[in-house]
Amino acid sequence: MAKTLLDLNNISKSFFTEDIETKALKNIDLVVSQGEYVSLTGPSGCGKSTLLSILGLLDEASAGVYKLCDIDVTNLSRDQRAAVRNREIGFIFQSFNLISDLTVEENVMLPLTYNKAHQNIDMKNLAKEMLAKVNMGHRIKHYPAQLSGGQQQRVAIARALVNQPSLILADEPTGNLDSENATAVLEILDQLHRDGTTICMVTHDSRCVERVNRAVYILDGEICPSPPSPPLLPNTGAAPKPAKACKQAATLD
Amino acid sequence: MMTHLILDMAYSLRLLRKSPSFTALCVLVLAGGLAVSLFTFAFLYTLTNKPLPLPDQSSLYRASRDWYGEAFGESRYLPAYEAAAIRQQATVFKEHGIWQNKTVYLSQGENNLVVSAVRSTANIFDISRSGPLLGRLLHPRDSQPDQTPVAVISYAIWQSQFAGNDEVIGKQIYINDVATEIVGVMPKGYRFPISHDLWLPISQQLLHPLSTQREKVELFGRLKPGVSREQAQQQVLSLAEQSFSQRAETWPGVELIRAKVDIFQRFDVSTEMKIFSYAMNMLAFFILVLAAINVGNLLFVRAIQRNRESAIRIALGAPQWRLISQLMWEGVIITVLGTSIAVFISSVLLHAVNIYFRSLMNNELAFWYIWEMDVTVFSAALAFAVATIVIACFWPAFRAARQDFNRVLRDGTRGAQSKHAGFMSRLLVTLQISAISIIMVLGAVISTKVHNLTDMDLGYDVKGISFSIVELPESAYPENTDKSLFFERLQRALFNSQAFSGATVRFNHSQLPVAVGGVEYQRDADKPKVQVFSMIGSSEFMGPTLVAGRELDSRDGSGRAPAVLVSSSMAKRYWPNDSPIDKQIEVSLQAKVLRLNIVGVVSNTTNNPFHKKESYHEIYLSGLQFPMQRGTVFFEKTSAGVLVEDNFFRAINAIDSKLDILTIEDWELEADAIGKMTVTFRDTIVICGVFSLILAMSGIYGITAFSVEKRSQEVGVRRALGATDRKIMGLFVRQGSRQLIIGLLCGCLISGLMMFGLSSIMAIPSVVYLVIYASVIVSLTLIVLAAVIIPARRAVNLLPAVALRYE
Repeated sequence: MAKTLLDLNNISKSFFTEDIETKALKNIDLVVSQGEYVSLTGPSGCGKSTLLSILGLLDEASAGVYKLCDIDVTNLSRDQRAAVRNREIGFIFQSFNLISDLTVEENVMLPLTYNKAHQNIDMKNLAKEMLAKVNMGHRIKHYPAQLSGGQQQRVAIARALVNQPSLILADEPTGNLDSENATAVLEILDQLHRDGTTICMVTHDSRCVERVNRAVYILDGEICPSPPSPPLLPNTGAAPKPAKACKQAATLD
Repeated sequence: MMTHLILDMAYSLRLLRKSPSFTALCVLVLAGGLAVSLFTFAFLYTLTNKPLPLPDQSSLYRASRDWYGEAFGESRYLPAYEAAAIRQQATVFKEHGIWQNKTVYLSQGENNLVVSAVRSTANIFDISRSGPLLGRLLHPRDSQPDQTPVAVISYAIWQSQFAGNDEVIGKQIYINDVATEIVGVMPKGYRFPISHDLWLPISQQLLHPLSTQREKVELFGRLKPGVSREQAQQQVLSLAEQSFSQRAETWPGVELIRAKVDIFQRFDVSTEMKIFSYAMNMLAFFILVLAAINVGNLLFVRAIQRNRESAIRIALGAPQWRLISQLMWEGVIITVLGTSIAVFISSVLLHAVNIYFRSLMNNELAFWYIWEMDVTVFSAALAFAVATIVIACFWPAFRAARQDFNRVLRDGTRGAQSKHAGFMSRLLVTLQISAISIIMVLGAVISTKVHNLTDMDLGYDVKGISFSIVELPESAYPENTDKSLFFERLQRALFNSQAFSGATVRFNHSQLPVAVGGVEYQRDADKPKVQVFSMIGSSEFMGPTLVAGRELDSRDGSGRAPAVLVSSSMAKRYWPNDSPIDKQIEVSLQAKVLRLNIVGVVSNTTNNPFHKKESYHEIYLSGLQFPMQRGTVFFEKTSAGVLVEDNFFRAINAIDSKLDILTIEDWELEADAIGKMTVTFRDTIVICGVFSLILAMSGIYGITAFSVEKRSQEVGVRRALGATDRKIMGLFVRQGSRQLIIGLLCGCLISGLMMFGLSSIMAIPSVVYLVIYASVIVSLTLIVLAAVIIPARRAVNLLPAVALRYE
């Protein structure tokens, strides 16, 4: 049985506006094993993006315990969370979120510059390698504004992968793409899954849901006990590789 | 880590290159603020604190004591006998010497010139740790009466009078008609103790421990290691008191009030100068703060605009310090550029000041007054740069790095302004309002005061007038009759000379209580204090001039009933509907109570530019009856071509060739120089004020307009919900007013406290303060309202549909 990568136990998130409490997430219990490909779906405002933010350590839960790679990350300091994010998590956003004043290569190198362990590695080569993986090796000196949406998203994927994270969090990765580019991006994600990467993806897109091996349906801040229909495994023609394990031991420095 | 910092720096450089106008604006604003602060600091530092360019200068001190006497008022005066006693008994000094400032007439062949000389103990050179360039230094035996008179000359005199001839040693010159041998030449730049070019041995009589000489001398030396200034001061006072008490009967009505021992170059810096220097440095500091806040505003706005980028970096795992460092780099580069420009501008200005002051002051500036970009000023530039980095770079970056990045990533709103960012903007605007109100008040008050000084009519016609201060040695002129005889002869000699058309000698008895005849006074303290002078010869050629009655003349000589002239202001004040002629006043002078008969009224004058001559009361007695040891001789040259010094020294040497004078000055030139300096100073303050106002206007407008613009979508929502334009405008004006009121309150409070501290030297009528404060409040209100209303009007004029989509 695959090892647990992330474990949410009784996670709740509330927002307060003056005296009014809005519960975005209510007692979420979720376990994702290494190598799983999970989608988070649900109607607008159901709390899926909030859940993704908590998973990505961009936001803190109001209650509950969140363990990532067996480490309780619920109460980490800002810089400790930044370090975990940098090492263990890769983000893919709907709007790509590339930095417009950095070249493609520099955008991909960016996570490496925040990682103390990567001080002596050849960051440029690693970035080139990742860009080659997503077929963007020929555009390394370009700026994001010079690329199409699909190309930008591929660069964003390369950036998410450059630190070889344990977990990829994708927030509507195909939301801003035409169907051709969306298919290309999904194929890259499929390949990552096959290579053993754990992926959690927020999506409305049924084409995405069709490709994951577990769909989590959220409604009104709660995981729906009986999802509308079980997702089908895509027929990729090849069995997934062993899942990528967490890179770090049970301590945080 | 280095690689990462270099990457961040390269990225910041790229961003700055991409926005050249933003970069130029920030650099110029900062360079302006830094240049003003740096220049002001360097200028005042040189005037008040600059170390002497001498070895081991920090232990070099000067000492004197202050006294108060009817005949002198409060003055700093160390008589030679007291200095001798202090030198003999003081244990706080490792080494010490005395000197006297003199102005002498140096003749060498056909060449004659007036030279600023010093008569001093031979150890003056040892104490200043300096050796000769040629020849030898003074020796203690040179002070013996039977020795050939000798002199050490400065490098400048050696060059100008002897063309740098190495054989100058042993040559003979004439000092006030006394043949003197040159024994040494000092190195270039050496003008110790103040701005002297000639060193002569001091009279042996003044050095003797049992000396009874009362001539004014200056005491200087080095304190022993471990002795504090306070300890030295205490010992000097105690020794001065001891010596003074032994001869108290020779100083009737005089009391010793304090001793002063201070670092050599700070000795003559008055309390007023210190306060003024403090005020000017504060003004410059606030201009720097304003410039830093402005650049901080600009960088903060830019950082906020890059919120999304920061959020992405956070999501990618950037630690907080990396984000702050990355956001700071732009500011750091701007600060480095701004500081470099400011250092360059300040260096040029300091160089210009050096040339300007040296030309105005006729080479009489103290030798350490060299305005330049030295190590201290450069260190100050670095300190200012670090302070700017903290205010303008670190703080905005720190605040910007603490935005709600999750919200930015979720919303996708590029400029999503958090509660923190909004608070920061409001705080910066409030700080700017406070800073500019302080600058405006301080600048307006100082420039008003300086402007008043430039327009001040002291009541004298200085055209063609020169003056000399002559101090008669007590030993040669012990009695009043000796003194009056000397000064009368000098006045006549000058008056009868072809070179001069007028001459008068004036003695200053300071401000004394005067009893006006017919008025009953319960106590002495109730009597009005008026300025008391005595004079020999008519002052019609320069003022004061006769308005009524007669002048003082030979009828008022020794043994006659004392007569007095009063100023018009005094006549108007005490005899408003009557003539003061033949009325009586009473004054205590030289240990006698004098009943004086008023024989004339003269025009108003004042010696103090801080006083209005119309409210400054003066009386004039006959100098033939009440002479003093020290007198100021005023004389008017007949034509521009007259050799003033030459003729003056001829006249004085004809009476007493051994007499040194303290100084000889061209009053017209001096007044012109002071006038020019004052105008330059006033204009500089006005330029700084205008620069600050532009800074503040652009800063306040920029940040307020940005804050209002960021709320365009909110305006759209409010309008969609039915808010009227008036309601929306009212909302913005209310919010702007809050910042304005808080900023003005803080600014007025701080400036009010500063004005209270400066009140002793400013002496500006309350109504002027009211006008200044009202103008500052009105102008800042208009600026803030414009900064709110113009962008708010623009936001209100957007179609609601457009405003709702505004990002």
